[in-house]
Amino acid sequence: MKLDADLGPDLDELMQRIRADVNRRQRDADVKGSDSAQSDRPVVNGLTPSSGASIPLDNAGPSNATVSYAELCALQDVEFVRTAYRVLLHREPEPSGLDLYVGMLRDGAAKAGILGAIRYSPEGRRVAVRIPGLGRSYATQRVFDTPFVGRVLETLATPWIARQALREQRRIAARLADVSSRLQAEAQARSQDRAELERAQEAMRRELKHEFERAQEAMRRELKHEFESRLLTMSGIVHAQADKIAILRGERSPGTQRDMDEFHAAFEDRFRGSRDEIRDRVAIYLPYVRSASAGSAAAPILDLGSGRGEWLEILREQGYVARGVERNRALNDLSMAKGLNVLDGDMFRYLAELPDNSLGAITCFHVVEYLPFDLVLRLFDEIVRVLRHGGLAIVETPNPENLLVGACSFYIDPAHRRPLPAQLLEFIANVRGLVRTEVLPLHPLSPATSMQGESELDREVSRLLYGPRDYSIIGYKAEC
Amino acid sequence: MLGRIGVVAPQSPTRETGGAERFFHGLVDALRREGHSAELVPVLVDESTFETIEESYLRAYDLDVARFDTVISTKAPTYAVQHPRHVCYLVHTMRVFYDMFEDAFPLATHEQRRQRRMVLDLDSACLDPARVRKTFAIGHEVRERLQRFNAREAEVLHPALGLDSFSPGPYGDYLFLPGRLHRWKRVDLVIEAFRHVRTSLRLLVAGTGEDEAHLRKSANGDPRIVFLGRVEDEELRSHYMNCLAVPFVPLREDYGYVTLEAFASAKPVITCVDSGEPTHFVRDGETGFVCPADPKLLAARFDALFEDRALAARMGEAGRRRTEGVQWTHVVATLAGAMSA
Repeated sequence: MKLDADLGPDLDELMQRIRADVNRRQRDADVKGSDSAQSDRPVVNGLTPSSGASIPLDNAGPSNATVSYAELCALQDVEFVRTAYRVLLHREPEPSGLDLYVGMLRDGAAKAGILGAIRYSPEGRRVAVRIPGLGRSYATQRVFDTPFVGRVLETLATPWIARQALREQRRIAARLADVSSRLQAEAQARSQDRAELERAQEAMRRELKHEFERAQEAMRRELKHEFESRLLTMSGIVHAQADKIAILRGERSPGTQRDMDEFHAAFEDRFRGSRDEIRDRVAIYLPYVRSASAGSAAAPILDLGSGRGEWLEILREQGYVARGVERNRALNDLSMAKGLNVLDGDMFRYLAELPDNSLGAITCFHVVEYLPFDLVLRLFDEIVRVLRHGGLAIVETPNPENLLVGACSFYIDPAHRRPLPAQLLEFIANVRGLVRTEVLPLHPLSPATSMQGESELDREVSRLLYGPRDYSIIGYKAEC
Repeated sequence: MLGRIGVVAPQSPTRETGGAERFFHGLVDALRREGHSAELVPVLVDESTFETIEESYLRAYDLDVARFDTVISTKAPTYAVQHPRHVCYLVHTMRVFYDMFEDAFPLATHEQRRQRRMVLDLDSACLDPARVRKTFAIGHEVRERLQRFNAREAEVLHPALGLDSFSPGPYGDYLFLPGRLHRWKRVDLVIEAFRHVRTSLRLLVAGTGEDEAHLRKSANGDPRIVFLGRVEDEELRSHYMNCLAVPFVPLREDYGYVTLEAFASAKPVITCVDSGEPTHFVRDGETGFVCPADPKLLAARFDALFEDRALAARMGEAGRRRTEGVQWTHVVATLAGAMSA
């Protein structure tokens, strides 16, 4: 199974090969384009162009490539000659030329000499690639190459060479001084960094103290609100008791109302879905509540038309402070049996008693479709009034954009007044003062997983028939 | 006893950081949390030319790790390190010589083919069982590639998140697509899908990269598509927290922290059948969608999630549960078992 790989080369052997390659390249880079590696002639300072400088090739064609003298001289043997041809003549070498120059190199000829010979050949002059320094270097090379004359010149040139060497030394000394001053600046910068770190620490200490004080204050406020909210609950209970007394005294007829309530409770069971289904559906709003920081004692949640209390139950499980208002006693009894904080009665009456800016969130699921239009407007007005700044409002209702809902299922509930398209409800929310509103499509019939390969028309029709059956408007009261 | 553990990790000369860097730090931190003495050992790795790649292999091979009792190597070429107790937790080899070779060099020269052979030989030799006690791979994709190209075996060990504190949030009206803007991530596929999106869904793209200009151009001024550029960790978490879902459609991705980050934020992930490791996490129709790399099909899934947020919530939550088990404690225990074996 592993046969193939095990027959491959050994790692140590491979690494040895790489090390040889890397070392060779390193050596070539170190001599920086001089020919000392191959020639025993002394290196003449000032004659070798400074390494690393990129030399633009004037006639290098459309590529506009640059090649440095050092790069050129770093190449060896055949590769050197081929590249020299490409750079200086813009063509591949002819076999005879290749042989000639490779032979010269192997005999120890200087690279500057070969570059010069190619560059200053008739063809090289025509192409005329400019490589600064090469001309002088080549000329000198040629003179030194001449037998006897070269030897004499070399002797004569020695004081000049020495001067050049001195100049080079000075240049290096200047660079050293430059580097050392930069190092000094670096050291200074580091000590500044340390001072900055200490300042930051101090700032953090101050901030922590401040944070602590703020938290204390917030706790105080929260306790106060908790107290107020309990008072409010008590007042709700008193109201409910008063209602009951009125019925007992015969001032209000209980029978008909009770009948309607029981009818509607049964209706909810049959048509709106089981308690578990409703629980699943409303859980989607939890993240909104969390990110609006609602549900503390200071910013409680109010659920208008709380029905059987599924939502309040979930909120309680999550540790949120919430209460509900529901006028249907049959439904409310169920909530109360679970110990949920719900009030019997008319939501508008309850809302009217609430102070401004007192709630963290108001939710209102499947209520607006039962209201006459003026009350829909009033509902939004009240929501905006009692919400705290930044408080969250969620209003869910059937979606008439689904044709089956708009044409039929909406009317199954005899108490429904008229469907409210999302555009209308969002418009009302906006004009009555909710901001950052968003329409959330919900509860489509079609399983979203089975849509592979359908045509546009299929998708459009299936959306109209099986698309979202409900939607909700989510919005916020503006920050002050 | 494992004694002192050295985690050998590459450091690019440009000091770029990405998922791999999060992984290295996450691993070292996790080892320390479990009571081991661990240290990150950087090796300078320069992938700009073949010559610098050779030098990088050599640097790893020559690295002095005598002061450690155990060594864990990670990404190419750190596994060239020499140590009698050496375990490799393979992030990836240099893919340009592997599955992306034909893609990167459609007209490869003889020299390029020789270089490819060289790298494959090097990797096979480094991961010879005689040199490495055990090789783990961060995912199935990496394991299969190693099997196919190098005939070396590895065990899949999914790393946990390098960045934490992701939390669930509302299912907003936008898809969030974070990551390097590189051709292999196929961001253009998502942008093209948006031409077929019918709802008012938006797309926020975070990250930078060599393909940025090209991608902006292909978005063609579509106001629904927003490029955020580089984002800080805090902003990243917040976008994950508030988005509807995360489209993640790379080509044969090795791992992709994006999937795990999305699931940690309880967001469904839409990925493609050829996206590699994400398809091991995303179950079609359960924790997101896995669909063919076709803009129209992607768009249909985007719309489906937009029109059914409860579905998005259910899938995201399922995804969160699916990756709950990917924990550093498990990673460290598995590595420790192999190291002391």
